[in-house]
Amino acid sequence: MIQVENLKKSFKQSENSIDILKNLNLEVKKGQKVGILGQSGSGKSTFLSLMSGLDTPDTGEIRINGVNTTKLSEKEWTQFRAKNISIVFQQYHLVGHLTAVENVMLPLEILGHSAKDAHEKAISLLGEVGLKDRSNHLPHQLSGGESQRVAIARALITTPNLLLADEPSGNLDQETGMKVMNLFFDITSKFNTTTLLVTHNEQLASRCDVVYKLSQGRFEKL
Amino acid sequence: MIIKLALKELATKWKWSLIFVCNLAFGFIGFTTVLSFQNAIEQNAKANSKQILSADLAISARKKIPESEIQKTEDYLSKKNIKYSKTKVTEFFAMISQGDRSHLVLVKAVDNLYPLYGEIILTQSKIKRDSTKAIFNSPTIWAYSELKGILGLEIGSTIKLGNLDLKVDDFITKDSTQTFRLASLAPRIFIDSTWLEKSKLIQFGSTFTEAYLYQFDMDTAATIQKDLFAIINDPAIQIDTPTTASEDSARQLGFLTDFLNLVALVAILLAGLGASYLYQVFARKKTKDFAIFKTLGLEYSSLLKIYILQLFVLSLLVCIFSYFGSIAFIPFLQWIISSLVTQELNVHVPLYVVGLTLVLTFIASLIVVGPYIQTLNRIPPGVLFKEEQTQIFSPSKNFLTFLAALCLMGFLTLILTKSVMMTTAFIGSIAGLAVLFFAVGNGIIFALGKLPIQFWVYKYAIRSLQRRKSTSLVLFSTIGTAILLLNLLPQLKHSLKNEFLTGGNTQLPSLFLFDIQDEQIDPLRGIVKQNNKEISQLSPIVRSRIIRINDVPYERKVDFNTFKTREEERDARFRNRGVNLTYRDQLSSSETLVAGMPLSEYKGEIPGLSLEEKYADRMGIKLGDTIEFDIQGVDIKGKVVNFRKIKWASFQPNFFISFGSGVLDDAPKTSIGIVNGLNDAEVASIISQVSKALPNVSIIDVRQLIRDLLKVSDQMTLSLELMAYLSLITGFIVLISLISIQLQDRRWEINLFKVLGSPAHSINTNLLFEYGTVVLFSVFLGISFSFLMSYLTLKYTFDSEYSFNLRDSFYISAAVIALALGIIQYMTSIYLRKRSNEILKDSL
Repeated sequence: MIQVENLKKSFKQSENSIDILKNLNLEVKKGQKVGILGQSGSGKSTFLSLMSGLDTPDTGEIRINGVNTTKLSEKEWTQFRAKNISIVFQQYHLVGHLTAVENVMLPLEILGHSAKDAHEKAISLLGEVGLKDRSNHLPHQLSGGESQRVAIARALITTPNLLLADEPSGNLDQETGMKVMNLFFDITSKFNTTTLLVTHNEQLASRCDVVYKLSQGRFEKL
Repeated sequence: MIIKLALKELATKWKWSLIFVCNLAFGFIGFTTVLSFQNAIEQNAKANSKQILSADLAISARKKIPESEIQKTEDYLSKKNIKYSKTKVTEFFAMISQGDRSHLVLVKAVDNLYPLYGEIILTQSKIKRDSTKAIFNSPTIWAYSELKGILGLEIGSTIKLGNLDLKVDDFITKDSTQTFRLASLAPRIFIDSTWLEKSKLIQFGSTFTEAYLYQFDMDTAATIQKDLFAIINDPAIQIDTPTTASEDSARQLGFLTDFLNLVALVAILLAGLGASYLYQVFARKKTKDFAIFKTLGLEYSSLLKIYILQLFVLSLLVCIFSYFGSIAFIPFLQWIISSLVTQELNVHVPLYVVGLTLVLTFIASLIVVGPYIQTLNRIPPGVLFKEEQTQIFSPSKNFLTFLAALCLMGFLTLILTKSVMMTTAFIGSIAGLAVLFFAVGNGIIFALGKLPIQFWVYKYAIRSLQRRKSTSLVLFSTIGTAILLLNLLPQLKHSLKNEFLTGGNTQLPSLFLFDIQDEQIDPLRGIVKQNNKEISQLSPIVRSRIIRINDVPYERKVDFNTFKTREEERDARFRNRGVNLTYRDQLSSSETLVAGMPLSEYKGEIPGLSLEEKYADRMGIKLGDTIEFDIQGVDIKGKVVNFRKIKWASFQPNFFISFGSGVLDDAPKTSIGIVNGLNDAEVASIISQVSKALPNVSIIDVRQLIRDLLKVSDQMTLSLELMAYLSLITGFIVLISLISIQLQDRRWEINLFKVLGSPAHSINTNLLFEYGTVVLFSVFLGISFSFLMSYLTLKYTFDSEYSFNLRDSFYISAAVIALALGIIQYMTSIYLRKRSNEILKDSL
């Protein structure tokens, strides 16, 4: 499903070049959940940027469903991402002026589905995350936990081949975070979604099928 | 610590600070510039006040001043041991002709002591007091240079003035008594006063002004003026000092600077609106800092000091920016205004204007910012942490800010224009427009939300407009107001031009004839008839002065208060002058009865009077009041039986006060009348024939007068348009600031759309549609409101017909829409080009 080979990424700082990712290799099977642990500044976000096509590697290849994404143009990446990849962010990133249901509908509408179809699916997914009765609320009317559940529903509405999750419970208190992550694991299992979960939390990572630690630019299997 | 914290925050958020400063600075550039101009005009008038009056004191009247009044003055001066020089000047309108060409001129009959101050610069010499130059004691004249072109005069040409044949001795290039070139109705000529009697131009009932000019050996004109007001009771006799003369002189351009000030104030309001929104964004972001400071134990008073210091620094920067902006802007306005002013104006930004701008910017900032800081203080720190992304400022705060800003605007308008009427109209219009913009804007946004649009690009753009309503409405009102202002001027100009050139529903006369003696009426009719035309609306004109109203003696109103509103000044001018009466039973085509009964139906014992409604209002006269007039020593009493409305732009013979037929038949009088429907050749022919046969009859070529007036009004409009463009630029700066801050605020949203797989062009269309909708509707509303406002202004202020100027409106709309969409597209593309991986960083 996913093959990452010799992925390298460095950034220039003043006159020095800092290698963030050094010869990174990874293989993920369909439906597998991969936990990636790492300290702040270890390159977790850079890795997610490369996986989602928001940034380009210096060298190396990323294959998703057999497509070498490093060869895609920006336009091709946009289409590829819309159909294959979803992201759940630590800070939810809901569109502030759209209601919960509109936020969830958005990815389908971007893909060209009719508003009616998108609405039906969004309501159904909001039901799955327990927020059917909050579907017409604006983000600022939702709690942190509710916002993240809306973000998860939004991420899953296109039934993506790959779900990238960046510390989904990082902004939540322990109890709410636990509830949201339970839901996250349940629903991704139900949809059999291939997931890359980036987190600081070892306990959370341990619930994944495989766990890697990103340290000094390389993956170390735990 | 407070200073460090305050300055460090501004430095860190330098982009925001710069946008805030630019936004307000542009609003203040116009204000600083106009105040600098006003200052230059007043300083110029003050510096040249003695030259403008050409005396230390002038006693004048639009009639012959009785010897007794002059004797009283001179007795007073002797009693006070004040030595003086005296000269007499007589001014009147007359026709001069050379060959077949004739033109109306203002004749100034002077002696060799004139001018007591200042000078008359001729092409070959300068004339000062005690001149022994040519015109004195010789049949010669000095003429304004424009008569060269009008009559084809040269030095040595002979002109006819009444019964006299006079030679042109020289042309005048500069006359220190003329300060502003507002209309060249009648260029001046100077003759020796000894020729006045021989010309036989001033006859019984003729219009003329007589002035006695005094030069004293000490600087006590103000005291003398005060004492003379008590000695000379006749309100028709004016007593002027250099100060009052310079104020009068500056007032001639006062209306232009008043309107320029109003446009400048609108720019400040627009900038304030933008600044208010910018600060809301800033305050929303700094709620967390505020909470941190509070939890760290910093007291509210200390926090307040930080924000006040920041505002002061920002105001100082605004002041500096607007100072330099004004320096750059002044030459443009000076270039336009210089054609209206004869004197060289030394325009610079005076220190008091800089100080005033600083104070005003600071107060404006406090008004804009105050409610937000107060709101922050009332929210406990815990809530601040939670509510970072929520709406913590209620709309009522915006309303309060607007109300406070309106009060400040009202105060400023009153100070700048000194007109209660103008202030009321201006503030009323602003408040009314704000309500209209917000109400209609709300309605449009609501209606857009009801549209069955399914495509997400457009649907979510509309949702954004709906759910970010305050931002949408601020943008809406800002652009709309700027457009309104910009389109208002061409609309007014077009309609007034149309009215002036065609007369609207009333036909404009070709010629306006005045100073017609009774025995000249028939010969005049004969001349006009030779050209197959008639003199129409021939109206008698009887000079008089009011001596009693409701049996109470009517005396001069003297008020030595330094601050007088324009209305008080105008009322005082109205009171302190003689009145021209007429008599007729029927209304003219330019008059409408608005109250009371027609004079023809009135059967009372006391003769009936008809008054122009605004005149009656200014004089405080009501229906049924009695007014007693002194007509050449005979007292006549009348009772007010009706009020009339007059369309002054019709150029028909109209009067403030009219008796019924028969009452004044035996009073000494002259007549005025009009001739309609002449072509240019007929105009020239009649003027020439009348000037030769009846030299004392004065004639105004109405079309030429209108052409001259329009030239002046074009210059004035141009300067107003320049200010309006400055307001539009301010509007654009606000637009750029708001969109830039919004896009910065929404950049993660743009990134999110990208991450969710939206192509860049869809995001671009989404944003362009959202802001484009605001621009399109605000332009449409601004244009519509400008039509409405110009219609109301013309109807109620100028009492004029309205005619649409769609062409200019179309150009203005197209230019503004293109420019605004260009700005939006450019700014959107900047944000679209940015990498979207920032969304994964915590810093967001």
